[in-house]
Amino acid sequence: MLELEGVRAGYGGVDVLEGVHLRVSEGEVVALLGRNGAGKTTTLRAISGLIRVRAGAVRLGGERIDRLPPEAIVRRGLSHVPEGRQVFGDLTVAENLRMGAYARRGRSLRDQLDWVLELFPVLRQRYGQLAGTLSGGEQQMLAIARGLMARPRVLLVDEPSLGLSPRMVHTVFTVLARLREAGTTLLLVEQNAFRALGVADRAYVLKGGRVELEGSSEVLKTSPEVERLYLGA
Amino acid sequence: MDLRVLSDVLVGGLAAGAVYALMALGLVLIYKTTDVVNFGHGDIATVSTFVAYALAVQAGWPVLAAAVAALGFAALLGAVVELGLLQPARFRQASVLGLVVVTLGVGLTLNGLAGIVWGHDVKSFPFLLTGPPLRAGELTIPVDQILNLAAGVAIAAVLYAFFRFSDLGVAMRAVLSNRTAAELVGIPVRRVFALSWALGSVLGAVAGILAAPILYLEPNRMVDLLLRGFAAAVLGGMDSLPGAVAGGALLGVLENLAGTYGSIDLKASLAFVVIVLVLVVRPHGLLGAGRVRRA
Repeated sequence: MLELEGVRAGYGGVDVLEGVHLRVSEGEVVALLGRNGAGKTTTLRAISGLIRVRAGAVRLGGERIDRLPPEAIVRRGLSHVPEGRQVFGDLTVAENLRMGAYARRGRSLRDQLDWVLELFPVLRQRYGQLAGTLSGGEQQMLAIARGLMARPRVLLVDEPSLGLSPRMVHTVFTVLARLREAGTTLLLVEQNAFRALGVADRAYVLKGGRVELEGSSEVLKTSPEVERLYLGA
Repeated sequence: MDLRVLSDVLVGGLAAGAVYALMALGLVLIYKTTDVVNFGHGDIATVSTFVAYALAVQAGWPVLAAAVAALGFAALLGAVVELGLLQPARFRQASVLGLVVVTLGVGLTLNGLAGIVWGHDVKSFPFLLTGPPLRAGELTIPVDQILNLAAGVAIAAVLYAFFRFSDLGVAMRAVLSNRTAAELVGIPVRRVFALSWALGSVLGAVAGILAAPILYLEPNRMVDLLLRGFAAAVLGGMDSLPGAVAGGALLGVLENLAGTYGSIDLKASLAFVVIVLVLVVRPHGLLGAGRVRRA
């Protein structure tokens, strides 16, 4: 469903990614792990078109998307839930969700909205409230819900547990597990490697802008290499 | 104090304030969405009003048709400034101050062009509507004041509905609220920028066309109007559309009160007093969000 082939990208003339290869099959949940600065967020930004891919290819359902602007990539069925949540703070929860479906405006949002609100009941309670007044955990729920409103074929989620209380982290991962059960294709970037491996089928470990390690979650959970990467030895 | 004079002053002040509010709305709209204070706003309004003048007076079109065509011209001009000048500058990482200087340059250029094409002699501009004044009890309201008030109220209502209910209006607010997130949900941010420049310039042109019959038309005449629009915008908080409307209405009434019960000199300088006082005492204005960017 999503495929990266030798992707190089970065900021201001410096490549952060030095040829990333990875693939996510339909219905699969894949975790992207690695330490700070390994290129996890950059990988997601390159996929969704926020930064230019300087070399290599990104394919979504077989189609090249690496030259397209972000709005065209969303329309082809890829949603990116960015790091730090990035909700529209001056808009209500309802308006945030409506904007999540901007790429498919004009079509009925009812079914998608019902599903999303069922997934995140707290958003129903906060429906008319400005998103900026929500707690960090609620904003994270809203960010994921907004991403889902586009009915994506692939959902990218960047650091959903960052800065949240342990209870909220638990709630977020419960939701991710439900998305997995619903058959959502998911690429998840996460600091908390063991939590991520708990929900993912497979994982890639990035280091210095390249894939250092890949394998099934079961194998990686017990891998001393993952521990070594995280402990920085 | 004569109550009839007072009510005339209030209605007249609101009628003038409606024009200030339209000017302010254009400034605020562009500032809100693109972060740029448009110092060319007054000159875009001037040139658009000259286009209406050329069509109505020189080419003999009906005034209303000329006005509508001039608004179309203003929309185009605004979009061209954004797409042709500001976006390339942003792409090359120009600072916000740099962009503001670009708008200043656009304004001065347009001002010069207007001088070359139409000269500097003062021209009279036709009223859009003529007719007997409206009488309500003791009150007599000239038809041009009614038009100003109606235009102000109608445009404010349309803008409110647009930003509250339409996909595009909510998308414009979303771009302002978080640009990266707007890109990620598929809002074409650059087109939204161009749209807010087009819309903002149209609002300025409406103000120019409403004011021209009274101010007369000359390339530098709109400077006062721009400064009053700016004062109204600052008074309202610079990033609040309702604030711009309230600021315009308040400034119009204050000016008329100052002119009637104080002196005409006070009336002329009141806008500057307002700008300075608001910036010193309450930088986020009456209704601003309080997110004042410090220089």
